[in-house]
Amino acid sequence: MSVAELCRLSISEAARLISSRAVSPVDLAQAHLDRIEQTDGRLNSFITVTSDAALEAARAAESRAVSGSLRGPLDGIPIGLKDLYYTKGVRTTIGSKILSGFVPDTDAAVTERFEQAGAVLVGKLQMHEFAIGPTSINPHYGPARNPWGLDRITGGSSGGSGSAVASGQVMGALGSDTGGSVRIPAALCGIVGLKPTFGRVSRYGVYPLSWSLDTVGPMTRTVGDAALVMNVIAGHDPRDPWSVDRPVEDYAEGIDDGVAGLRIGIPREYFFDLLDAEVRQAVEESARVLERLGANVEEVSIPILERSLSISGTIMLAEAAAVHAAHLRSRAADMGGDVRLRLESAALIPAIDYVAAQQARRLFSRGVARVMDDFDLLIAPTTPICAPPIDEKAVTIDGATEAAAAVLPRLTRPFNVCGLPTVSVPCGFTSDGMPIGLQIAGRAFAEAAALRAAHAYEQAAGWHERRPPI
Amino acid sequence: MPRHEITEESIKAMAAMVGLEFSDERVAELLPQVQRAAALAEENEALDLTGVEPAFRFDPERP
Repeated sequence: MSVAELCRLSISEAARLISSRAVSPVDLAQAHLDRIEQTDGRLNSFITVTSDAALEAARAAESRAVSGSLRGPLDGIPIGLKDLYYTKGVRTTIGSKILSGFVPDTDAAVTERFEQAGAVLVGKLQMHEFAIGPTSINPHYGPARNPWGLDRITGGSSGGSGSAVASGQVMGALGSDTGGSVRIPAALCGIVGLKPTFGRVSRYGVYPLSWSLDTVGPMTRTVGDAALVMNVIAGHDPRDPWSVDRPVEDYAEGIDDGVAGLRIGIPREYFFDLLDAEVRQAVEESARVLERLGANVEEVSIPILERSLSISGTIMLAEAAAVHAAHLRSRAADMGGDVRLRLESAALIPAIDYVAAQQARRLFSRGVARVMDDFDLLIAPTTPICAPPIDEKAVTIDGATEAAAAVLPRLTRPFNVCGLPTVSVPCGFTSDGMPIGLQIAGRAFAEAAALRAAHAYEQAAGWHERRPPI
Repeated sequence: MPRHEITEESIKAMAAMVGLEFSDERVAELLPQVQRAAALAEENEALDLTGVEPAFRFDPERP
């Protein structure tokens, strides 16, 4: 197979080919390293490429393939990690100048799990500085660029993960999602991104943005691949105080069971208030596709959604300011302008405002949970707009002009506040060829149901078969 | 009780309490950001939070 063919495989296809020894893990790793070499000068997905370690890991996978001792479907699969996951002995910058020389002496829990599964880490991926922003325009490492249009942003903060997966530089990646940082770049880059239930995947060894909102999630080209990654990374870890000790489902089992009979709510208020017309059309058409597949799609009212931004904004910023208090006092000049401005203003949020936001979060979550008693899933657009140009700081929707950085996380944050699992799946393209994302949210810890619906939609709609022009 | 207006002087005072010091020019840049954060907090206060425990220990299954 050519480099291009190898780099277009899904994880599940590659796993079958490795298992049958039709494809060598070493050839697969080399093909992805070649792809990075050919494209990253234009995409800027990577902060660090770990070629030697990747080939060494691939050779170990090859030995297991030969001896019939493969560790599972991720064995020999080239993956990337957002550059806030600790990787022992490998530089981990958090997208910052301040930590540009940081080399952890330990692995994140998910890094360990990938290694145990035999996955081949090819590098550390671009991100918005300290994960505090949704564009991945990074003043220290340059902007991550969208494979569907190199003048466009990838979204963020896991922007390098989005561009690397979409362009075939890696077969899967991890992002982190505090206000939408997995789902936004997934939507803008035309791939799948899952924010698991809060507490489902360990954040041990993940540099924090906001302790009470941070989650870790897979970014892949198909929903089935996201399920395979979840099977490796989900589970209890006592080293993360928020990690939940409850059984883990097999996310791949039953993924073909379809949506017949499922009740799906579509919240009209908030999610459809400020929305690009092409995004609206694509999401409404996806609802019709799910209906044709046998789901019962009904409009639902959740008035407290209007508080999404006030709750998540106050909590996230106050906690981020606490994370970076020492940096603010001694290294503020080394931060990018947008991040510094957000953190300095966040440091002034009074304690009573933070506590009130945490009280409001509980009310909010109860309000959403009551709705979820009557529905299996909720669907909504992932972002109000497609990827804007890198040099366009403001966007206009329905005559209203707002900062792109304010618009992008508007529709993802509600699910961070209530902690529910939410997958973003491609649901169409704009007339100028940019991807659009659909969010499917499930009940707490019902990742499998959300993935099953996303898979059913994906297979019916077929958007995942399109490839970016790069 | 209504909130006090956020001013450049109050920003300097709040900054000093958390060990930060800003130039006059920087305070002017921060003013709209801090006012926006205060406006968000007021939206939360508008909810009836009487007797609601803050979600410091948050379980998405039993909120």
